[in-house]
Amino acid sequence: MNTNNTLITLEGITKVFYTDEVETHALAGVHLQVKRAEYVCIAGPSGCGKSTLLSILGLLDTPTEGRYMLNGQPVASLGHAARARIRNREVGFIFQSFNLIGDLTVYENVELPLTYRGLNATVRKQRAHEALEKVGMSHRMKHYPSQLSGGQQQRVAVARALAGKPSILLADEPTGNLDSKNGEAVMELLRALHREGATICMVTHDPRFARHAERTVHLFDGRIVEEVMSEE
Amino acid sequence: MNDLRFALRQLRRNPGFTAVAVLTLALGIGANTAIFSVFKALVLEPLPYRDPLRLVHVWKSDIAIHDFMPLSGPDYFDLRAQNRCFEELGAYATARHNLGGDPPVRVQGILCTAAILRAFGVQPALGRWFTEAEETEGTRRVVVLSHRLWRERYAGDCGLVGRSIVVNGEGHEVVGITPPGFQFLSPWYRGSPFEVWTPLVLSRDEKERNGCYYLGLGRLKADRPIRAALEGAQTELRAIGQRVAEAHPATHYRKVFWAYPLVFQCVGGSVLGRLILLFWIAGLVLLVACANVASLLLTKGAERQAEVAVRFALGAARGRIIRQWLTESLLLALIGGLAGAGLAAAGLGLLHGLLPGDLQRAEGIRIDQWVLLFSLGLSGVTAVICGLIPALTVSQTRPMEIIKGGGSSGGSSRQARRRLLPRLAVAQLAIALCVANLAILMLVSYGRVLATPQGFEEQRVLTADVWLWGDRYREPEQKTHFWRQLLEQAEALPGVEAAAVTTKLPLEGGRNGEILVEGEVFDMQAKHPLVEMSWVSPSYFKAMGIALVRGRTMPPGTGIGGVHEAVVNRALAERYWPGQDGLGHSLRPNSPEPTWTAVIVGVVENVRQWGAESKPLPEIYFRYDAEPAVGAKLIVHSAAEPVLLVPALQREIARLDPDMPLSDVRTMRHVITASTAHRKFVTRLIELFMATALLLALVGVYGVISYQATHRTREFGLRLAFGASRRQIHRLVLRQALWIAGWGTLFGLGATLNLAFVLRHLLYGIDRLDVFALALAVVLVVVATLVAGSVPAWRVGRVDPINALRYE
Repeated sequence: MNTNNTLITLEGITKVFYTDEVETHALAGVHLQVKRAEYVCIAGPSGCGKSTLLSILGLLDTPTEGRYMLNGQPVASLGHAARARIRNREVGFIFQSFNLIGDLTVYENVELPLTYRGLNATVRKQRAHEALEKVGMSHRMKHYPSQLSGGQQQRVAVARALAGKPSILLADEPTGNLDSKNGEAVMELLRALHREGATICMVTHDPRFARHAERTVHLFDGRIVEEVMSEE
Repeated sequence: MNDLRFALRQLRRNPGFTAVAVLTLALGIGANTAIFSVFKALVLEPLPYRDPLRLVHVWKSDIAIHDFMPLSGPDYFDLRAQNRCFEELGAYATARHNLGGDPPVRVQGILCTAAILRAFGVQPALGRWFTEAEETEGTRRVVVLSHRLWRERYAGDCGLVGRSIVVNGEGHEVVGITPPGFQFLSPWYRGSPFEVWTPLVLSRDEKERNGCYYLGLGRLKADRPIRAALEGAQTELRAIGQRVAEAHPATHYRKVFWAYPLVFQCVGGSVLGRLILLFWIAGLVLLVACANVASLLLTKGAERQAEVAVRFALGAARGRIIRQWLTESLLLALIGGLAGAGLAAAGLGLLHGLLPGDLQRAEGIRIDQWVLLFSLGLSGVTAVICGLIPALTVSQTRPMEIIKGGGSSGGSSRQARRRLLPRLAVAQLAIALCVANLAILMLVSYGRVLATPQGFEEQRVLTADVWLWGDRYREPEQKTHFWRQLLEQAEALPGVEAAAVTTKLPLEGGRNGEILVEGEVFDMQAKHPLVEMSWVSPSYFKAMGIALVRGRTMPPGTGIGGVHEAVVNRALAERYWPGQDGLGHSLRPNSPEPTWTAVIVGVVENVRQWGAESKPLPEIYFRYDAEPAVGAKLIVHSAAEPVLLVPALQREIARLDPDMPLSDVRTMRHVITASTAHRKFVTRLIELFMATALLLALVGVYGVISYQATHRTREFGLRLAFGASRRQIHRLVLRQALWIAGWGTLFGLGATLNLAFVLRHLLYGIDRLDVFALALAVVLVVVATLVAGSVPAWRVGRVDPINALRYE
């Protein structure tokens, strides 16, 4: 294996939640590698640890044990500020319920991660425009999320994830709140991005969409129980 | 900039939230701004003189304590001759002056040495100040007029300087006009505008050594920094005092001189103390407002968890989230601050209406750029106080839980919110209880001051000033004659039951001195209490409604010099002859060569001499004709409304002397009102603050109970589904309100017990830990809490269980 081509390496990742006197093992020794430009799907039944894994991959949470290398850099035990910085630069999130900020316009939503990076207004404007062009939403730039359909909102969410030119896109059930037509359109958008070289890691329990990925990792009770390469 | 834009948008999109938060902050900041505007005008505003911190009053004092005894003429001359630390040093006394003309008027004036007006370091608008040559008896009479008097009475006539006007019945050459806005600030006759300055002719005669009627005023030399100059002056004045005491031990035993900066004296210690108390309480109101807005921001944070989670997911660091929330609270506080300044400006009219009349520089109370700056600064502090907790709370959001849970869960931030909101409500109630208790104590004090029997008739007694200046009244007999005629004419008026003359009114202070009684011999080392002294006509007690306890009043007739008959008050009789009637005993001044002896012929009821709240001091009443004073008060006891007598009294005075104005006409009720004006001012403001604090606390508790009730809607639905009655649900919510009230009361009582010391000098007739006041404050707070809790309780009691079970 070409190490330089590996974007993410997880080794023995465990996550234990402590509530009162109860320990919940959400992840139990997960080993996973994601290559650059790879499209990976994480699948599994409800409560199997998919979202916890995605949180750790997206640096929104830290593992209880294990090693996490992102872009060749150990990130498992970084502090809040360092994780926020890396998350801003390396990770693009796409959520099931879009999670656009209702009080910001489409443009401002897309610009937001660039603001946190401290880029100047000209660069921010150029990148936000590019991202919106890419998802076909530049004509809705001044609209507010409430003025858009679900499909359009998710495309804006994709543009927001892309604007920062992250190393990886993490998509958590990106079609969960969409009808089938809009769901297909968003999946097609992700495939197009993958074709252009984006690395995508998607959580879904819908087998129709899991097929879009090159590789599907099946989780069960916090462990990877199966990895399936796509036939496509 | 993005944070600011977003914050603006947030406030615009939530007009209800913004309005409540801004109004809350405006009330808190407005209260503080209003008090600051008073504080600034009275205390912080530089005095309108050159280098004003170098101006000091010079007083005589006991060597052990700094007290405020005036100087005598010989004291002044000793000080002037021996000091090296003053650039200018003068002495002055206050006096009412009669200005001739049509109509004649009486104005407040100053008799001063030439150095006094020079000491202020300002130049006259026209003409000049006095010269030392004009301080001598027999020189031509000169006068300086205030700019206002010159403009209003003499139409701003530039030719007036050099011309003669009639002052106190004699021609005086106008030599100067003060600059516009010039104020002569004095601890005597505070709040009275001084309009006329005439030279003070002081005597060097050693017999006058104990005639202490003059206040020293000096300007420290500019050769040293102010602090060093003041310290040097204190040392030098003390040394001069000790030398004078060695030379004149009979009158100056243990006496020294000392300097007190004008800047402190023109405010007055009691005013400063009351202002500091008002600041304290306004600060407490602001804290309630902050806790209230912090609660609002916390509940707002609950609604915006998803947004915060997304921001985290997009790479915002905690500091960035905190910054954004603080920006929002800062913006809120700034708008609240501006609104508060607006409220304060709108309330200044009310404030001016409540201000005691004797406050100096009160006309300078306004909202200017410095007050606005204070308001904005306070807004910044407020933003941090009320914004930091919500910002820190929201920064604890666990993004993935929120994002996956669609905002219904909130991890640690939700727990923190659930923990903090009731605590903030408890804090609001505790502070409100504290303020309520202070307000009740002040209100009861004020009520007790008003209810205290003053020992004289209030409603039907009229008083007016009469000053007998000039050649017509130079001799004592002339003064006595005038008064005898005036009193006869006044008593002949229909509706007049009695008329009298006195040299001073109850509650307004006056002359005092030390006395010796039979068996006591003069000993300069012995300390004697001060005894108040009044010179009155025999009908004074009847006219003033002061009860005769035993004996009789002084008979009319002669008696100037030698042995007098005198009346004393009950306090003096009990002080010197406890258990006896005191009649027939004699008194004399505490002096090696007493100039008079008085035999007590009557004892009258006590009246307070130095204010409605001061203890009655021993007092001697001499007959007016024993020592007729220039300035005296006409007292008229009327059968009906006394003010109706004023035109007739003016006519009677004009018949005796057409140039004699009747001034300062008041009923004794007005004298009491003036004496209690400071307390009334403070009490009314504290009442206002209490109402504000209770209202804010009520709104705050309502918000918290509402929030909690809303988040328990599903639980209430379940309870209803399992058979709970609506009354039981109602009780559940009210129990929460009572829990808050209980802790609020507990902490409030603790704070009250610790803070009550701020009132130690301001209460009257009530203990600072009065159980009734505490209980009433607790009742107020608990009732407010129950009222606040009953609305959400009533609302959840009406919830439909089916809808409630669907609630997320």
